[in-house]
Amino acid sequence: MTVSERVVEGQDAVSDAAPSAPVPPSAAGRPRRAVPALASQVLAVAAVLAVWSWLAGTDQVSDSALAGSVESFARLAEVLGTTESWAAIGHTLTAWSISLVVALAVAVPLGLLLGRSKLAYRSSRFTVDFLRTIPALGLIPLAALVYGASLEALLVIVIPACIWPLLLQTVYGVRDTDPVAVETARSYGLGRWSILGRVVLPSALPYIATGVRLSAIIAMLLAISVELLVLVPGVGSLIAVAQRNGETVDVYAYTLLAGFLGLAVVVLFSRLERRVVAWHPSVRGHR
Amino acid sequence: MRRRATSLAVEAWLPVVLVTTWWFASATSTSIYFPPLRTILERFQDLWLFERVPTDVAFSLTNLGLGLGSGLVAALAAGVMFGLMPRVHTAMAPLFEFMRATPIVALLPLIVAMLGLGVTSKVVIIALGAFWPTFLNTVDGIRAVDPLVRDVARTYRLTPVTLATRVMLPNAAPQIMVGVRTSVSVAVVIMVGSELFGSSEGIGYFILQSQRSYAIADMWAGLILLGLLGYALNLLSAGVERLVLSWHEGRRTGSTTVAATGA
Repeated sequence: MTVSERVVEGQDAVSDAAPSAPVPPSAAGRPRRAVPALASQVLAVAAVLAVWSWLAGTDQVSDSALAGSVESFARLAEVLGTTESWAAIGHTLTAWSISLVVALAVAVPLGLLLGRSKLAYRSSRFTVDFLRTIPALGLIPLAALVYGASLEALLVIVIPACIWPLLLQTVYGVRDTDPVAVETARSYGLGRWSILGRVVLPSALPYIATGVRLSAIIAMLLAISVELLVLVPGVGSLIAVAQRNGETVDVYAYTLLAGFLGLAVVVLFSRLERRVVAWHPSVRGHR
Repeated sequence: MRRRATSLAVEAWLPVVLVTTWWFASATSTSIYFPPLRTILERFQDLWLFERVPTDVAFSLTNLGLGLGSGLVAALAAGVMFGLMPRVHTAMAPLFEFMRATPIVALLPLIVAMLGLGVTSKVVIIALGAFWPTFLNTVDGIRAVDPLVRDVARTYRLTPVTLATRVMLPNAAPQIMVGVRTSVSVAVVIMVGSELFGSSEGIGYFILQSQRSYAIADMWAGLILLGLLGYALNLLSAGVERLVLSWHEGRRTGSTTVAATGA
């Protein structure tokens, strides 16, 4: 989150877009200590699962509130064999990808405009700041009223929340372009559009890549949240339905599924970001 | 003076145009979904100045304050701890990644099953949402502290507590504040989410209840309140960030090691 960094961070958040600089290539790739690190990670996961299992076994928490780890993972494996859960995953991924594509199509051109024009930037600053701080989930009643429990209702909430971090990152990236590079291009006789395409956009790319990662995470977190709260078909609504039916193990299994979907987006887009920015001078030095 | 007026005009024209357009476009609206802005603002005045402030607004803000406060304190403490123990952090990293990637709102059914529908479950889930951004940024910030600074701190034989509060936290402050600001906005979203899921109080609940009873102008008034609240909290966290970092910059000008020797 966050969707935060963040988010998300995600969070930004869930919905915030703190001005994040491009992420330098991770220090994770130290091959020498890779094996003991992996071993310690496996151990830590095993330990947490054991504690979870033990907690579920004791009478501290009632069985209707806490399912065991083994049962939960077994049920997760079981539901992954059903078409119902794959249909739900498909719904969630569809909503997620539509949100991300629309946000990209809106935010990047708009960000280029606001980044290049001081007047446009200052004119829109307050409006953008106000709109992006509206808590996204607060729009749920309105969206549900107008569109019912449908994909449209979900998109109306998720798309704007994805636009903000991407828009801000694009604006920061464009404003961070070296003015000397722009002047040089101009003195070589490049036109306005060539400068935008060949100088400004490449220079802003690392920032945009960070924005894409943040938006992708926010889109997944919010899509599942809206599904759960409005019962729009998807992984989120599976959790809500299981809870209403009092099927605790199912609630845990589907919550794990939601977590793995989120994790997949985080891992995938962090990799993608690293690949996109690898050539950029601001990152190259870290190699 | 004149430049100031121009600058204000540049900043303000778009919001003014948007609100005016909304006002006139909705003035004769008969749609149930989009009542006239005039009606909405009248309802806003009736509801939020200040009749329902002691009930719904106080409820939401109390939960937010408690959740955010405990989440941030826990995040700072745990962040420093894991930041100073890189091996333990490496071992736990996959679990942290998984927790961060899990939609916090998706945990609502679990937390409600464990803690019931009362205030506790709301505060806990807000704290959980606020925890991750600040925690992860604190760990990163601490780990990025110049090793030289650590060595100097070691030669001065600082106690772990002094090391954490006088050296590590100030040095990591910029990155921590990025996390804190994300945490604040995440917490507001989770607060609203928690009030939409089996609640009977709060601003989020009010908006939902207005929608269910087709009091659409009330719903819009609630949304406007939520927007103002979100904006105010963002301003507040930006102010706190500026305060924290101005102090940080002041210390930094005397080189980072000053913070250590000052201890």
